[in-house]
Amino acid sequence: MKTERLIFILLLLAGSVSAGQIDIRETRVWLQGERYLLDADLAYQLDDDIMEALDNGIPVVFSVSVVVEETSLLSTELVSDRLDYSIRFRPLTAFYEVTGPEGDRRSFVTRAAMFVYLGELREIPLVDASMLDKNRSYRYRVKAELDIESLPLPMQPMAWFSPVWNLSSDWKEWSLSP
Amino acid sequence: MVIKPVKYLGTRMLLALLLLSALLFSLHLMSNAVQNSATLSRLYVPLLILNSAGLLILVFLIGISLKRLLLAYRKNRPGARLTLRMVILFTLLSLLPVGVVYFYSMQFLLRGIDSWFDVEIDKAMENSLSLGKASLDLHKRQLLQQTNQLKRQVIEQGADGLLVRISGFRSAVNATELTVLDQNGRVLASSNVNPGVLVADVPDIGILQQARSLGSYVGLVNYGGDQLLHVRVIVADLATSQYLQALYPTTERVSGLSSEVQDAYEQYQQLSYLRKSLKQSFSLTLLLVLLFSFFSAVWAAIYSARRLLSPVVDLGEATRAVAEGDYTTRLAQPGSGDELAFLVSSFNDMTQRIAQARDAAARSQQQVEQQREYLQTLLEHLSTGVISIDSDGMLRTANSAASQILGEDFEAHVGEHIANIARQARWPEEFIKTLKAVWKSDTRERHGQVSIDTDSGRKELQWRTTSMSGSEGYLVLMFDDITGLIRAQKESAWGEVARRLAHEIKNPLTPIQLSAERLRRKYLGKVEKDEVLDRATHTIIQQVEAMKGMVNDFSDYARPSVFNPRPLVFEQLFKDVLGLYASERALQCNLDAGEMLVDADAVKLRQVLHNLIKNALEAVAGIDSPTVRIETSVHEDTGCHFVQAKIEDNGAGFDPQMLGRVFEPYITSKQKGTGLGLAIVRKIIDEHEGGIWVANAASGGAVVILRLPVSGKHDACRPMPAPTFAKEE
Repeated sequence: MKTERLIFILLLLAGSVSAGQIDIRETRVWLQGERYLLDADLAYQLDDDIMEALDNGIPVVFSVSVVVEETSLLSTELVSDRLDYSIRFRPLTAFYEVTGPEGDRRSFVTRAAMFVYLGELREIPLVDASMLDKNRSYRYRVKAELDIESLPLPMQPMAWFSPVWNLSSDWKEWSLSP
Repeated sequence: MVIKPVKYLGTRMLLALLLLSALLFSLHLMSNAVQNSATLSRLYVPLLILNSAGLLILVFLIGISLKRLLLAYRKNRPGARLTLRMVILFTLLSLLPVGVVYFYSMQFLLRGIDSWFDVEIDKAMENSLSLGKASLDLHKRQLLQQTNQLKRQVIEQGADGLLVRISGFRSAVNATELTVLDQNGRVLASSNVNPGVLVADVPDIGILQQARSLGSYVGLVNYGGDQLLHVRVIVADLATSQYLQALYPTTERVSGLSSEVQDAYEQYQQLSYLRKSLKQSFSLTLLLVLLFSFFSAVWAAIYSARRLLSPVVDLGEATRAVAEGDYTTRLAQPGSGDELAFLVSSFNDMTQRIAQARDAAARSQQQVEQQREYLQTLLEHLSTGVISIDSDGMLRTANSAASQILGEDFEAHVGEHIANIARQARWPEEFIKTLKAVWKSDTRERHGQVSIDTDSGRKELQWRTTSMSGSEGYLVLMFDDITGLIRAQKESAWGEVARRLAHEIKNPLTPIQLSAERLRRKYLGKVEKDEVLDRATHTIIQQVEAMKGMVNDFSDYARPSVFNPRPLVFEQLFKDVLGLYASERALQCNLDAGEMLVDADAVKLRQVLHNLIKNALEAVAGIDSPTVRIETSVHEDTGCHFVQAKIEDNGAGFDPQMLGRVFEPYITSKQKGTGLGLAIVRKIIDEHEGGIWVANAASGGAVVILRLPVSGKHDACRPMPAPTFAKEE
């Protein structure tokens, strides 16, 4: 009985301190040549603790996972991709630097500009059209999360058990008609 | 027999060692992970969870062991108290150094981490960054001024030839890229030092807004394939709402130094931010090591205490078993060869010797018991009565022959004083005094002869006393019933007398009788006054006849008996005899023996009955209301099945002085008779293996009881059980 009560209190506390969230608002898939491209609009709302860590030179990595699968009983995965966006603050130049999945870097003077950039994912290669059969139905799923494992080691134990750092969106899925 | 093997490394022990080893290895990996090992850093959290789980399992196992130990302690099991003490002692001994090491390690660790962030270093890092910024700011101001001048020459001269102009100016100012943007940030014209770069670097909307509001923007940016540090300068032309952006490269040295300063500052700032987390991580790791060490020590303490005390506990249990009488307990010999092994070996030797001693004692006791039983059996089957009297004069033992001879149940009197028993048994006072004298004197070896009246008549006893070896003060009295022997001797003597009388007297009687008869025939009636002759010769002849009868009686008594027994109905024989006394009114018969057979010589038994009835009738002759009661019956006593005839009269009875000797020859109270009647009766009854007893009835008169064994049952009636009528005296 005591254990159950303790878990309940911990859950309440976890709910109360969890201020950040990541939402996947909208996605679009369009065919460009022989490849389907994905545009996604995401909204990042981070806790002050994360902002503080960021301003103190801690690199933070957001991972966007994209899965394309056939809509069937077995849900066969065709594509499973993960896009890592690493952000960090550069003290000398006083701007926020975003390193994309391909190693491309963008600098932003403000955090807001950086998150606008991060929230507008454009022309992400999704799947080759040749992999899709017109007679079958497909769907794609998108999820974004903060990668705790990429944090510096001393922070990881705290981050694993802190709701502030356990930041993840739900899987959101849409149908994909070839 | 319980032999407890000494327990060596068991499965549980191996499992515990495996767990400890795994935990130790896991802690080692975790320690490496904390030190930022690239491979293991990703395993830090799983290792943390694994170690915590391992410690929980260890705590659980220790908890179970402690619970068992406490349970054993509460139930006061052997060794539990000592084991608990040792566990507490070991735990405290291990806790102290581990705690001290942990405390100082934490101190060193925390202070070490804090020392990384010394105020001076902090200040130096800030200063180096400021220095870098200041150096770059100077450069940026020059470049801003230069770009403002370019703006007038590029934008204010209109859109014609814009691309050509900016290409020229770019080369002139040694810029990497020169771009003209409209108010929305769209590129109007751009020139890059690298002709392959087709897309101009466009600032984000925030920078443009800043440039619009402030008129200009100067910032640093890493640009190009080598990410060389560039100065981004944007100036706004309010008239055309256009922007001119120039990317000026810094020198490689400036770029490299700036990058190093920035990286160093970033790393320092990152470390400074992670200071708390670092402390927590190291503390957590150290705490896990501490807990591991502590719980390992506790577990080792429990195991060591159990293992060390195992022989002691076994020894305790075995000692308890020995105390409860189980001398077969043996302990397994420990292989350690230490003092405990010596103790166990000594214990085993001790129990073995005790067991041998006990077995020897048991054997000795058994032998004593056998000896006692042998003596008991011997005593019980002796015809000699044996009684023992202790130093206090109390009766201690008596065999059955003693009870049988003396007619007293000595078994019931064990523990009573012998004087009381003797008086109760009507032993003669002289004999009691003699016994007392013997008992008090040092000379215990005495012997003598005594007559004692018992329920079955007077008995002649030959007695002797001796002391009992091994029992100080004990007196043993042994006595034999020699009544039968004396009677036989008397009977033999009387038989010899009778034979001689018959021989010496009977021979002259016939000539005397013949001479008297001849005198009568020759001179009776022929001489005068022959009355004298007639009376004298008649007397001679009559007395000779009487003497002949007496001599015949003696002859019969002395003559070897011819005994021809055969089964006959006792009561029928008795009725035949009684038929001869049908006219006697004194007789009162109550015959109840039925058809019971006895093995008897009819002639001799008839003689006995005649004699007894005749004696009774003679005893009541001449008295008022003469009565002779005759009863026959069948009885069983102590296994003997017999027929009894009881003849009781209301005459004068026997002279008490003669009562014990009435069956001796020539003992009679009658005026007439030879005194051989009852002696002959006794002889005949003895030949029939029966018994005859006489007594005086309490109401006066004599009582005679005759007992004969039932046909075929003689064996169980040797001797014939005596009646108890004598107590009626």
